Amino acid sequence: MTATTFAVPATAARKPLQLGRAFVHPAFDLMVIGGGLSLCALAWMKLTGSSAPSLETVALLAFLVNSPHFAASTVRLYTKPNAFRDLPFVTKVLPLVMLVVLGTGLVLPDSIGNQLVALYFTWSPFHYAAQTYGLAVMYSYRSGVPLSDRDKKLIRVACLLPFVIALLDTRGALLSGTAVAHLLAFALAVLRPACVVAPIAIFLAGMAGRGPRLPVISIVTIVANALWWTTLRYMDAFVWATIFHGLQYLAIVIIFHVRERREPEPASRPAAIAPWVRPAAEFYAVCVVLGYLLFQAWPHASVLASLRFSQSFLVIVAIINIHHFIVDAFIWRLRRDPNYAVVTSETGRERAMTPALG
Amino acid sequence: MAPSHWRERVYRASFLIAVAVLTVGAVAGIGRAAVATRRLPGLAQDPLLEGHRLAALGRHAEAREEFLRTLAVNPWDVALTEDVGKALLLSGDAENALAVFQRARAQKPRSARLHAWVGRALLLTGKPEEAAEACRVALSLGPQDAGALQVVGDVFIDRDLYPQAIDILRRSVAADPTLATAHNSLGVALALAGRPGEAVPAFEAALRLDPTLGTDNRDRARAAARQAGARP
Repeated sequence: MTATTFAVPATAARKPLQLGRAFVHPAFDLMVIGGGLSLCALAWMKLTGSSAPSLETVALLAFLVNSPHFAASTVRLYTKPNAFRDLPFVTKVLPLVMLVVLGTGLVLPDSIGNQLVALYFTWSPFHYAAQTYGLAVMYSYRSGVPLSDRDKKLIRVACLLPFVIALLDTRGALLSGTAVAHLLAFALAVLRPACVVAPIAIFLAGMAGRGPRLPVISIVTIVANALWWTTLRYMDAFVWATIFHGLQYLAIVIIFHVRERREPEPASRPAAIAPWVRPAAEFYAVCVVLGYLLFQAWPHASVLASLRFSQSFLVIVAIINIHHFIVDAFIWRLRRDPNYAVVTSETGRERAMTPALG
Repeated sequence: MAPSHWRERVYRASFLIAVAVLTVGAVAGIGRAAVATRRLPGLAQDPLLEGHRLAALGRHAEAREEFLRTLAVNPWDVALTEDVGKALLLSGDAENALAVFQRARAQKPRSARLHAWVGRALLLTGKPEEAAEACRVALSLGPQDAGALQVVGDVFIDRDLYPQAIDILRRSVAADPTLATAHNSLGVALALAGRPGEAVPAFEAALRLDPTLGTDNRDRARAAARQAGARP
């Protein structure tokens, strides 16, 4: 999920410190979408000394969160109003293009397949950073915090630092030699604390009136992504970042999906919970089924074509990820898009619950 | 016909082809898994799934090929490389396992467990001196690393040095009481050291933590303890 710029409502009130205007409930938005849950999980891991979950836990989380999250971008693409008309290439041609690339990767695993996996590993941290930026900016606008181009650049840099770390942390993969190793180690030693310090500095600058006054949810989102990539080993970070990124993504995509289908409510009438449940559950169920078919059924089909299951599994996972990254770049645009209305929409209930700290 | 109309027809055709390929792929995958494993595809996120299945069926050559080919696509994941090494070792291919563990160790030279695995593979390829050195490095890097201690304990078992194995495996179990394989190895070391009465609780602990280890070891130890007159 990425963000582009859009106009700030002129009537937006500027508060000295605010949690942020929630979509569902401040606690839900902060913990699930903002990444608060992941901070709790990180604290638990550090306290107990555990790093990676058991294989069974990973499998269950993959079934309930990861796979549906990848499927969710596809489901959203095809359920987004007027998607076939507005995004003809992405909706109609991209799937076949990706299948051709997948086929090439499966037939030539040593030369193309491994490059697809490498691309997926490299792109993932960037994708998470871009999603973090998108969420941080989205909550800012939603909370009535105006952002100048300079502000957005600062936020983007803060969000992209973990990606730079992930890129440099592939020690010896791209370059080798003692001097390079020392240089990389030094760069990582500087960048790791900078990842966490940068969003806090932006927050403090905002408090002092010298920068964007980002809502707490935006800051927590940036800090959470930074901590995933700075406190965990690369592959552990991959496991956990994917789980929490998926959770974040599923929550926000379902919110958008449901809101696009909901009749506008009068501000005076309390919002009903029930109308949310069915479309949300339907959307999630479709994502779970599609995720299962893509990640669990597909690799078995490749064996019928005399391909190795292990290689097919890895290349299929890579191609699903890459497709997800590309689709996301299109479906989360805000400028001149119905997404804008969802971000800035407000119900009576939300207004009543919007907290302001200080 | 207008170019935009042609484009629309091409787009539509490519979409339908993609949907057809996706549908056929999903149905074929479910069908293949149902025939080969007699159940629907599970929830495992494991590229080595098919290799393990082939190994369990005794088709070791195919299993080895499956394991080794994994690393041609993803040589960057150290955990996956380690899993491939273990799978090769289990399927009796110590030579390839050694090469794979050495590759993993080169990526993560401070990992005590990888040094220990290299030690075990060296021992199984008939290089006891080098194996001892690798284990020494493993113990110096991770004196409290339960995984490394367990593998070093297994090396001592392989070398018939049971008292040393028991000592090191007790340390492994103390460092991580939830490591089922360490309890199992401790049970093996105790049983081979002629102490089946002490081995039974170790096997029971391993079984509690990981029921897939099976009851065979525990039952044999119980029988041996009874025969020796000890009460398990």
